[in-house]
Amino acid sequence: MKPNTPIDVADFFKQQLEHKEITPPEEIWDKVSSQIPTYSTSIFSNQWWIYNSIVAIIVVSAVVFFWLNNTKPEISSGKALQVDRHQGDISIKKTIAPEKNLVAKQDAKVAEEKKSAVVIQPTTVSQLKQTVYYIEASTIGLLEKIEISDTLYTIKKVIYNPLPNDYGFYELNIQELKPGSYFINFYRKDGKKIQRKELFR
Amino acid sequence: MNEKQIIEQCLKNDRTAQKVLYQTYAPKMYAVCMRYSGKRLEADDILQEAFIKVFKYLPTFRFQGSFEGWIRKIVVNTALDHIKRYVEPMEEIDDNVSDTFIIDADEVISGLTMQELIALIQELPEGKRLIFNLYVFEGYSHKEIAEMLGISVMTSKGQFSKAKKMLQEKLLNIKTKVL
Repeated sequence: MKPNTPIDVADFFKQQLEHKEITPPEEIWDKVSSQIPTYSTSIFSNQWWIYNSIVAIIVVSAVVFFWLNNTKPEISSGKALQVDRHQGDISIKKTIAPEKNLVAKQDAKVAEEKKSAVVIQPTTVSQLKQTVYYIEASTIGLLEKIEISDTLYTIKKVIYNPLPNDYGFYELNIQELKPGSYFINFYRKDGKKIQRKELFR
Repeated sequence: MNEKQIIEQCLKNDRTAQKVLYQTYAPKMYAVCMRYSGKRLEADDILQEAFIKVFKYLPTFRFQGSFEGWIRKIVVNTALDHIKRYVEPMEEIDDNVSDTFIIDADEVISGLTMQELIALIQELPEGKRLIFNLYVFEGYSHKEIAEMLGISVMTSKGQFSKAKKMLQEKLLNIKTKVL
């Protein structure tokens, strides 16, 4: 500050005293230190620990939930059939059997999962859905048409002049049909009609 | 050790860290106490009580904002509690009272020591001293001071003006005596 500088009284005191230090008497520390509380060092007493745990539980639960929801069976029945058919020399009977086994295994797996204590979202029906229905041509004969109707006899699908595949099976695409019981009417070329009741998954 | 580490160590009941914390901030806070109190013994009591509160509430400090500012708030509030006990009702002062009190900071005035200047503030009546400190050093507005002390804004302004006038007179007296 320059000598003889006119200055407001309040500003003068502020400039001269702000940020100044005065050493307090020693005995004040003795009195203060005798009254410092003992802090709890247990991690359980720390509120942040509790908050962090809650957040961690929520995050882990969310991850597990989404992971279970988005996990599909590794092999669907349709895929299994396609793989087997590409092998060519394996008979269709052998391909059907694994499909049935696969469905049965998947059923068992679903049942097991339901029983399990771990909360697992049940595998949805669409994931197990049967997409193709096979029937041996030799047991049915030559056909004019195949009609699929539900249990209320509402016709759901008609296939005219179906032909057996290379392995001697009629192959019906039932992908668009909802799971349930259906009547399958086989109209033979000789005028006879065969009806079967089937459960499509 | 930085400030955060000292605080963390204090919370682990480390006596050395607790003393380091006290020694770091006590001299600054003692100067504050001296300005607010009329006597040295009272300043000692305020500092002691304030630091007991600092250690008591230390686990609640969340490292948001300045730690020194946090301690200073505790010290000022403790000083307020002490002084408010015996502050006499402050009279209303005409709003037209002058707010400008100028002094020439010549060699005599500029040569005054910190202790001498603090002594001049300590000589002010409690109410005026309190308002002068809150306004000049803590930066509170007259509205805030009025709310804190339960007085009108006009009273706060008037008391502040009177405090400045008294300090101006004291400084002029010192000058006259020396010259």
